[in-house]
Formats: sequence, C-alpha cells, structure tokens
Amino acid sequence: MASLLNIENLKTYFFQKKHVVPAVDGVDLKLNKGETVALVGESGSGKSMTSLSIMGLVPKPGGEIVDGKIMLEDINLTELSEDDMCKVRGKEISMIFQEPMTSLNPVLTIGEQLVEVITYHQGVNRASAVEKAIELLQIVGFSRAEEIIRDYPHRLSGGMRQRVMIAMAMSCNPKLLIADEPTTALDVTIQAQILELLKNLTKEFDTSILLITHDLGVVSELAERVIVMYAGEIVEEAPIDEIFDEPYHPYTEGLIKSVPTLTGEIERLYSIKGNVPSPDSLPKGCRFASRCNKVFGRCLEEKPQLKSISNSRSVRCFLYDDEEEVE
Amino acid sequence: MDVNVLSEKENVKSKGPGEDFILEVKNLKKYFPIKDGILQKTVGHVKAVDGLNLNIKKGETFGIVGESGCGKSTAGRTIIRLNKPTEGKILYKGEDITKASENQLRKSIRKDIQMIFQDPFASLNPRKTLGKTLMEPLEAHQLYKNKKERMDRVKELLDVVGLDPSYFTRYPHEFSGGQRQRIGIARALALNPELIIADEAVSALDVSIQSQIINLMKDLQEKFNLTYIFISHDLSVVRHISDRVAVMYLGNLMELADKDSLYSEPLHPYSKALLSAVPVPKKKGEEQRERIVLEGDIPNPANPPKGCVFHTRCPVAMDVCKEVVPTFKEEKPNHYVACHLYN
Repeated sequence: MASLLNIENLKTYFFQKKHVVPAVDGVDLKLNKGETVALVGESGSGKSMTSLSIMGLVPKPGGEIVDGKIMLEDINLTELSEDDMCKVRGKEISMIFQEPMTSLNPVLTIGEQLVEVITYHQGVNRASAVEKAIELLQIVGFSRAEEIIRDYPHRLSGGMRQRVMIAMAMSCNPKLLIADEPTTALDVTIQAQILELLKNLTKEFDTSILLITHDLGVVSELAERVIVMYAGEIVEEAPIDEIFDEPYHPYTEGLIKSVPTLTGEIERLYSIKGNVPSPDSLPKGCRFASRCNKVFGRCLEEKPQLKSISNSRSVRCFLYDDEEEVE
Repeated sequence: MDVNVLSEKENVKSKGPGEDFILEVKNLKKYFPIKDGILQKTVGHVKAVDGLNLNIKKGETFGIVGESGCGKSTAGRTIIRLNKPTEGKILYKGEDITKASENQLRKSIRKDIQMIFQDPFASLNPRKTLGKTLMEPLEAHQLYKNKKERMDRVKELLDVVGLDPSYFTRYPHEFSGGQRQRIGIARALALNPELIIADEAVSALDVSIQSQIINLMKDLQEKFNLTYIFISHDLSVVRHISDRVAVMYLGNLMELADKDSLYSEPLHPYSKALLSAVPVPKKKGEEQRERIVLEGDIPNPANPPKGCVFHTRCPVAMDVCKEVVPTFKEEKPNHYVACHLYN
C-alpha cells in the first residue's frame, strides 16, 4: 500500500512564561492510502495536538512545531506558507470535530457553508456548487436535502449536524480525513449511525482516516491499526485484531482493563493509579513509571525508546527490551 | 406492576408493601412550559417526564439509562425536588414529599438524599477553598458543635474519598477532573445521606480515572450502606455498577429488570437497539455482533408521537403501536416491559 501521510519526529511545544510544555514529543506516524488508523489516549496525551499540527492549526502564539516533518505524499506541510496551507486544508486534508455546533457558523445556512467550501476549492460556479451540496447531503443520509440546505444549524439535531460536518469534510474528496472524537458528543444510537456512515464513505471515496478518540469500542469498530499515546509520546502501536488480546505496554493493558464490559463478567474494575503527569514536570525516566504496576529500577532512570517488536507492532517499554537481549 | 397497583390503592400513609422501598415514585410527570410571543404565553409543554413509576429498594443501585432528551436527568432532579413535579407522587420512606415546602424538605430529605453531578468543576464554587465548600453543608444543618469538629469531619471525609487532608486549603482549579469528582462525592457524603443520585457522575472522566471513581463509589456503598440511583447514557458503566436497570425513552420507562436479564435478554426493541449500538472492543475470534441501527432521532418531547412513543423509530412497529400506548407490565418475573409485542 502506498503511504499517504508520513510524520517523522514531530515535536509541538508550547512556550509559557516559566515552562516549555512538550505537548507532542517526537511522534512518528505513518498512514497508508485508504487506511484507518486510530490515535488513542486520555486527555493531555497529545493526540489532538498531533492532529492540529497536521492541519497547521497549532494555537498561536504559544504553540509551535519545533521539530519534525509532516509529509503528505511529497509535500512537507510544516514548510508550507499559510496561503498554501489553506489550499491543502479542506481539499487534501479535512477534519471533523467533536462538537459540530461550535464548528458550524450559526448565522449561515447549511447550504451557504457547504457551497463556500466547494466554490473555494473547486472553482465551480454557484449553481453547480449548490447541486453538489445537495448530492453530498444525500450521500450522508439526508432524505430532504433540498430543504436542509436552507436550514440553519440550530434547527438540526446533534447527529444531523455531525452529518453536515462530514458532508462538508468530504466535499472535495480529501485524501485524509482527521476525525477528532467524531462521536463522543453523540448518543449511542446516533453514534452507530455515524460510524456506519464513516465506514461506508471511506470505501466509497477511498479516503484515509486518522481517528482520534479515547473510546476503545469506537476504535475497534472503525480502525485497522491503533496507536496509543501517553504524555506526548507514542507508547504502543499494533493492529486492531491483536491489541485487545495481547497488549504489550502496561498502560495499554490498564486502559483496556479499566473499561466496564457489556457482558459484565468483571466484579471490580482495574484502575491505573494516579493521574497523567503534568506536562511541565515530566519525570526523567519513563513517563508512565509512576503509575505502572510493573515498574522497576531502570524505568525511573532511563527513558525507553519506541522499539519495534515485529513488523506490525512496536512498544516503548523496558520490559520488552530485556526480552530481546535474552534472545 | 402488582406492587405499584397495590400501594396505589392503599392509602399513601400505609406501611404496607411500601415499607421495603426507600423511595417510591408514582406516575411522576414534569412538564416544562414553552413560552412564546411578546406576552410570553404558554404555547405548549415539553413533556420531559411523563408518568414515571419507580420503586427503589434500600441498599441497591438502580441504574437509569437513556439517550439525551429522554428525561433521565429531569427525573433525577424532580425526585429530589430540585424541580417542582407537575403531577404524581414521590414518597421517601413512606413520607410524601411531593408538595413539601422548602422548610420541610430541609428537615427531611435535604440531608438524606444527595446528588453527584456530571461536571464537578461547574458544581464547585471557584472562590471557595475545598474546606469551606465541604464545611458549608455541615454549618447549614448545624450538625457539629464548633468549627474544630466540622474541620475534623471534613478531613475525615477527604480521607474517605482518597484525597489528602492537606488539600483543605486549596481551590477547585488546583485539582484534576478525577480529584474534583472525588470532592463532589465527599460533598455528597458530608451529611451521611442514605440515597445518592449520581447524574452522569463519571461521564466526563477519562477511562483510567473513571474506573477509579466507579470503584470508589462501590466501596463507599458497602461501607455506608448507601442506595444509589445511577443515571447515565453509558450502558457498560450502568451494567457494571447497578443491580437493577431501567431503560428510559422520551419521558417513560420502556423496560425495567435485573441487570443480568436486561443485558442478556432485552425484551423491548429499543433496549435491543441500544445495546447493539454500543461499540465494544473486539477480541480475536469473537463474532461481529448483529447491529440494529435505528433510523432518525429521538422525537421532540414537546410533541411526542401518539401511541407508543418509540413507534417512529421501531424496526418492528405494528399498526396498534401508532394508536395505543402499551402498558408497562411484568412479562417475566421482575422483568417489566412496555411493548405491544408482549401483550
């Protein structure tokens, strides 16, 4: 499979008065064409900041990409000017967010917002843009698309708004869709509808998805590969059909075990003790050491590197370092 | 159903079958007026809770699940009289609190029934230290003789919920989300309540923190013999913590059963769809579960559908569903459902 997105050693830091906060600290990530990869982590793990870095939307002033490359095919996105980036954004890469109400303009109709994107990126006239907008709304499941384009966002429910966002994101046939917690704000029955829609769209448009979420259930519905982030770093990478059975990193294992199941065989939930370390005072050794149940001396002193274990899996943990040496 | 009918027929004050229940809710309705025009005339009502019947046993955890807009939060708030009920009865330990005045409430349920909210940050005063916040209910109810005793009690509470007593002088912004929720729990526990209503208490938390809070709530229940009403949209969490679970849709109960029978053999088409819609981490070799994707959205509660409120989205709706409201009846032992399929 041809590679679409290739991130190397991405570092996005925030410069505050007293501290430097490494929100994303040396992330390597590859995404192939037509592939869906999930970026999983808790709040503060840097998953959203990774996606904003790709979009060139790191909050300024304060935030800055200090190192690394983001290659979309052969373009390095970090070197693009703002004008050039505008042409990429929405056309090559588009994004859907958690809260569709805040990302839609409340004083413009759905139609106006869709038409704006289409005319800007595709240079077509208004009439054909309107036609295209209606077609898109039909694709995302609106039966009354002609009426919906005249409606304002507040008239729509949460699930409908997210559909509009998806229609807008897909309007220019992007190569990459970044979905940042796309269903977190939605009810389960609506979430099921949106997940189904995303699945079908990627097949139809051959779009790659970078799915950002904390919900492991959603991950297993949609993604083929999972990348787990913790405190700005990738700690584990694995194919979807292996990670739930055999997680390598103690953090991944803890995450999986702390989610209650629908079948309810667990009496007491596993819980990872403590909290995510504050990014302005990260420990010297492994960033997970203070919460890890398998911690040993070396973890507190040295920083583990992301090591590949097999051709599809890698993990950042000393537990697997030793194994290799023994072999 | 039989219990409901019995206790309704008998006098409210009777100590009959109602004695086992810490809380009884009978035909509770809460309508919010919709006002429009210059004169703000009432043009309609949002029927947030429309004829709810519940009996909560002492010491159990009663889960209420449903999607947004189904009325589960309104139900919780109305039960403890944060909202004025439009109709119906609420009995706490046999005592009718439906029409009690604020003064009476303060003497009776305000101490005994407490609430934990979803967003602990929004429910803490940002200008008060943790100690002040937690001492306030103790002062209001004049439970301890002097400040020293109250402070001791607060420190004890902090210890109980797993916070360091030295946090006494800190402000809410200095805490993480999980710690804030622990504070919310400490506040709820301050007055030694018997019943705690937890409204989406763990929904805003990260999974690793969520499991800590769930475990804490379970421990406290055992320790203090608490009764919980656990309101959430997260079906897995509700299953984990509850003994009995009720499924709510558009202001009404659709199904009510012990958690095991509800999750393994849901009867109502809505419960089935809801359960099948939950994405679950799949293990190798596990079969793809069959998913029922419901069409459309939850209808507007200001104008609920005639007949069964679910018929507009129901995959197995019949003609009778559009006309007749199904009764809520016991289909199997302790398994209640409101659906024409079982009539």
